Amino acid sequence: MAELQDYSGEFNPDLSLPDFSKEALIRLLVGASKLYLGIDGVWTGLMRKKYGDQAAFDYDKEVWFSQALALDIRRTVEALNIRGNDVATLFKYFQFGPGFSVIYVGPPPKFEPRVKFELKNKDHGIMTVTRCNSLEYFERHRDSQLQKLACEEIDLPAFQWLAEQFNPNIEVMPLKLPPRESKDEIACQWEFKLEA
Amino acid sequence: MPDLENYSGPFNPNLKLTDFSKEALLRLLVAAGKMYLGADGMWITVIRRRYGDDVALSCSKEVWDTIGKQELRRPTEAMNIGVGDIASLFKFFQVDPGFAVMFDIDFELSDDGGYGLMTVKRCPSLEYFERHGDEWLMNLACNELDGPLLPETARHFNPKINTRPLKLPPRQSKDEIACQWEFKIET
Repeated sequence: MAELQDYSGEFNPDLSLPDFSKEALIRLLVGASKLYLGIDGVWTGLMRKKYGDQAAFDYDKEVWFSQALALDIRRTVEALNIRGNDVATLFKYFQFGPGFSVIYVGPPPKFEPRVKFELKNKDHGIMTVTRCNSLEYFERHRDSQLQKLACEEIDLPAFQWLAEQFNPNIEVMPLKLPPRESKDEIACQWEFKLEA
Repeated sequence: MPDLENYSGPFNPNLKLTDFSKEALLRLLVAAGKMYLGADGMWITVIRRRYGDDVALSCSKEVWDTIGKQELRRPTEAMNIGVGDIASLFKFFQVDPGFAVMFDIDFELSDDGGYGLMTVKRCPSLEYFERHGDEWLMNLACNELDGPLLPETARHFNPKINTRPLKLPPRQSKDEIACQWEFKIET
């Protein structure tokens, strides 16, 4: 059977996911990754409505730091067999994490990455988020509180925490964070360095 | 460059999702599906601990009112699945990252397309509830959430689809199926 480019054809009870083309599977993967971050956003939104910003943001942090980040690493590195303890390994995880870079890829068929990585050496690198759907959502809804939560209260400690799971001596430094003056600017930029 | 089976090789800053094999992409897709349902489970745990079972239950229902629609939209758009009949509903279930992508499910459709039977043979969520002896969570997922969500999903594909659970958890033994649902187009 030729690879299916989508599922607009007839229902086939015996169909399995490998019957689809790579492009179709990537579209589905991007959709799944958006659902993953999306459900966190829906929970946070509901909690803000019911219990206020501070409580909601506290619960969100509890979700991520108690279990979700650890599971995010484990599931991603197991799926792609990523192993190591340097900045290069950390970047491999960031590059294809469903909760991060996968969400930000460009449209099919190229799915161009919008998170860029520059490795100066295996222990030192710069990560640049050129386009961030979450930031665009915050800007569209003028929700500076949520932007601050995501970019400063969660991402900042989360990147440090994630880096330390690969190597406790990796230091994370934000080089640029939102808000930004214009949509032509990058979303954020981070430096990762393995201290000797 | 041949398709990469995994990312055990050196870091490549120019690597793209399209450079991986289908098998690697599928592993990543299943991982994303698990993280999606896992994040929901972690939120329920946090709210349950702070506010108790009743609040966690009502919040969870509100969350799924919203996310259920997104779960419907994203895979159907990604795979160009239309609406109209039980076959379309089953196509959606087959590729849904929050459902058949992770579960072992059989689908049977009558020749005229008016009757469908879905059997969830293996359900990691149910196995989690059983492993942790968490009947409350099982009731939340299988009865309180799926109970209304599956009929609503079916009606999205055709308002005349009537949904009926034929078997729901709990089960007596792990050899039993997890659940079974019948879908019928009312004439």
